[in-house]
Amino acid sequence: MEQNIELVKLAKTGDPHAFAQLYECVYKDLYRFAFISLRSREDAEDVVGETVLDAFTAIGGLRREEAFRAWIFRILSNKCKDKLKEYTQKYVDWEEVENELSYSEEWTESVYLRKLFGELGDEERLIVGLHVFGGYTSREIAGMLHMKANTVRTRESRALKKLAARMRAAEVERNG
Amino acid sequence: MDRKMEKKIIQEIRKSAEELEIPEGLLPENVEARLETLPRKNEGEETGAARPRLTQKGKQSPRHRRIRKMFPALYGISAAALLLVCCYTLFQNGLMAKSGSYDGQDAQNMAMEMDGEAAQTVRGEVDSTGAPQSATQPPEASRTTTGPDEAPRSPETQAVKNDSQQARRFREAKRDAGDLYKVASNYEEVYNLLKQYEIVYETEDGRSVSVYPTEPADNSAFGVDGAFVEKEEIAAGSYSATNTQVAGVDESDIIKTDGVCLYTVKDNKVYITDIRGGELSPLAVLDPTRGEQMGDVQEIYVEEDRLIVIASVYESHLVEYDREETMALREKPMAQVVNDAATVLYTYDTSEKTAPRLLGTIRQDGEYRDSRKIGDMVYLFSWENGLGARLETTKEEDLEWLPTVNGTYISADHIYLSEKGYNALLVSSLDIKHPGRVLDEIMILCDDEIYLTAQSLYLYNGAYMGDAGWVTQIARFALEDGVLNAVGAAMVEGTIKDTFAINEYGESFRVLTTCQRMDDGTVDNTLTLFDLELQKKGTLTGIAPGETIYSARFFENMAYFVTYRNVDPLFAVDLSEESQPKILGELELTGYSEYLHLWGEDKLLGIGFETDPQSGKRLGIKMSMFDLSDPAGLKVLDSVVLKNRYFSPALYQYKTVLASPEEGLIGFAVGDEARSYLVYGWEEDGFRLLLEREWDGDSCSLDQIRGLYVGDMFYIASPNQVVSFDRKGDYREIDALEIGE
Repeated sequence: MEQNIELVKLAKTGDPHAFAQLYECVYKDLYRFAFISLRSREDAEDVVGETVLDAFTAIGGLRREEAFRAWIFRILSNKCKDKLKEYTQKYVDWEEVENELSYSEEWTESVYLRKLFGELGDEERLIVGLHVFGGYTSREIAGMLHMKANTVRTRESRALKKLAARMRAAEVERNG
Repeated sequence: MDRKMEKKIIQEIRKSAEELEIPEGLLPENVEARLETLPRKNEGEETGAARPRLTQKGKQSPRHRRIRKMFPALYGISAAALLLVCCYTLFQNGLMAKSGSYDGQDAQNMAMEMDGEAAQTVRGEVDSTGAPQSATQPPEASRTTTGPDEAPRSPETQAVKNDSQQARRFREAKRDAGDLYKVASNYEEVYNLLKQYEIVYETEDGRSVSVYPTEPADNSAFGVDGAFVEKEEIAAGSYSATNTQVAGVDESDIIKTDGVCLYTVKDNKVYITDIRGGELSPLAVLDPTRGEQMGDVQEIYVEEDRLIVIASVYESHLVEYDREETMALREKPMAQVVNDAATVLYTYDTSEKTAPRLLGTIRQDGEYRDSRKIGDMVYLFSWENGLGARLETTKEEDLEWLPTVNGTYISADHIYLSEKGYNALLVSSLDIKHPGRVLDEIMILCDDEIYLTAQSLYLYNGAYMGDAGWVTQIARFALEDGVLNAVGAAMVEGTIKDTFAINEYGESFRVLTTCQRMDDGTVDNTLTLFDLELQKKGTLTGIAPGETIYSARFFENMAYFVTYRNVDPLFAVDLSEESQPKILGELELTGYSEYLHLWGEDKLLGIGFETDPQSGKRLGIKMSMFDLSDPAGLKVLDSVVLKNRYFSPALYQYKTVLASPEEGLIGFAVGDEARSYLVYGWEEDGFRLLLEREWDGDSCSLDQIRGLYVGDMFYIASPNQVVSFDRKGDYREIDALEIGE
């Protein structure tokens, strides 16, 4: 924690190494969040890349050093929202497109869960993703998506229940 | 309700995402190399002065377009909010008009009772300037602490109207909880602490804009559910009570009985049904949040002549932001409908079951988190998620950023500061004999979980300490006649996996934690003993290496817990020598228990799964009874495996379990495709199935089904229906009723 604050201070002076060290703590979750929201490896890589550049440019505005993670996630989630909006304008039929989330050499439970996750709605993926990878609370997510905190909770809980039920169904099926 | 299940699936999502391969271009070293090539700005500038603009890199125009496009949508939102208010009023009127066979008269009654309150609480007019209008009385800025004020003795005089909190009997200053939570010395200190979370951006034209985003909430914060178990106290006239964590400490639930009536929370109302003799007849329906803009009845308590209803209520405000600021700050819309949540506790006199009378209400800011009731004393917990966001729209001197309890700003000397972010837990206490009055209240800046005994409130939470790994921070507050005051704080290695792994007995406090070493990833478990000042007395480390705790139960000076790795070792640990806890016995059997319940003096009931010892594959739900009479020689007396049954809410929500050693009854719901409720008897060292009742065609979730008994009758109830059975006549079905129909 202490060390983090020092790094933010350094990063604010424009030190790429310090920034990279901060980035190192979050980049896996940034990418995971982007990928599960967008379901496209390539787009996920793009938005995380853009986020890094934006964040590096704007880090001087970060007052509270400990908040780096929340701050960079917010930048990323905005980009993902934009991207999702772009998709709807372009009309990408995800039924047709291969769900890249479930692309894998071997078929495991995790792969199956990711496939099911990819079948959730855009908003559901954002909400769950922001919670799981961004660590945001429903009230904070509500603020970001302009929804009521209650609605966020309801939707998240519905999405999770949906996943749990399908996973269970699959398990029951497997066990005969 | 089933947060634990949600938590589980969240963990699985996380796990499955961890397998995703990260593209090379995003690896930190490659990113760093790319950043190196950027022109280095701010060179030589001072740290604080470096304020590059967010709207750089030629991204301006699309950004602005996007914001402009948002306007129609935003007006849409505000219009929708207004519409919602109107609809809601209509909806309520409509509902009250046809409250069916549940006596509508009471609703009238209610409306009258509520008038005084309703006049104050009709909110939600969003005026055209967008300024939020709150009809709450402008809270007193400073608390006048008067001398010991005799409470009005007759409940009539204080019915409906909230007592003023000025009648404050307790003036002992709040103490710090070690270094963990420190009492604030004034509002300025609180404000400045929250202010730290501010992020300031500079706009193109050089103005500063501040926001308070999002401190990531501690991921472990949402585990509340767990906790507790044990049959409750006052089983007078022998009827079942909610299964709780601590004997004698009641917990709120959606369905309860007082031995005469069944009280059911459904669709934001409370239905009262006469259930005597197994004959079911509707008596009354209460609509406590009528008059609120938006209400959500959560849970209830019942006892002789008293019904306590806890609801979350929401008020919508339209908050508009400065246009320029909005442009500069892309994530912030021009205006936003903000919902302020409050928790309201209503106390009713139910001496006349058909016409309950509202005696008083307590209202505090924040969403309902939890509550506990010990005799007449109720502790109400709510939480404010993101207090800092309030700073965006209010001024420090207006104090409107402060949460209120019963219309009064919480005073600075009742606020505990911490370094844990700006989520706040509000705790208030009341005596239901004087139901409009708050006895004491505190606010702690934390997201902690709650463990409450008759004499203590423990707040605990996991914290990540970098190389040192995960620790659990614990603070203890002493409870005395409803007054809360901190005693101390402590830290233990590892995290608490099961809500029953934390326990106070007499003068000692103990926790079981699972520790993962950061260096090699190995796992083991630790038992730590404290005194009530939270001074460490003894530890037992290195328990069950490679395994984590699945369930736990303390009984007096013994700890029992289950760890798991294909087989289920049940441990018995003697705690009587505080400085030297020792493992007395260890019993291995197949499967594992997710829930443990003490059965009489010397037995332990476990509910969990049977597994294949080779593959670890689950074979079905398993129930076992352990004999504890010789801790060194633990034995299984009997067990039952429900083949092909893989799911029961008993595995994660103790409130759904009925376990009564006095009556020899065990009940819980199971369901995968087909749902049913099972009732077992424990007789002469063996389980016996008494009733298996299918429960299909009910839209409720499995964890909303409860089993209850009153004398010779047994009831299975959900929010939608109740069915009665004769315990003395082979559980013959007697009557059935759809609630609210």
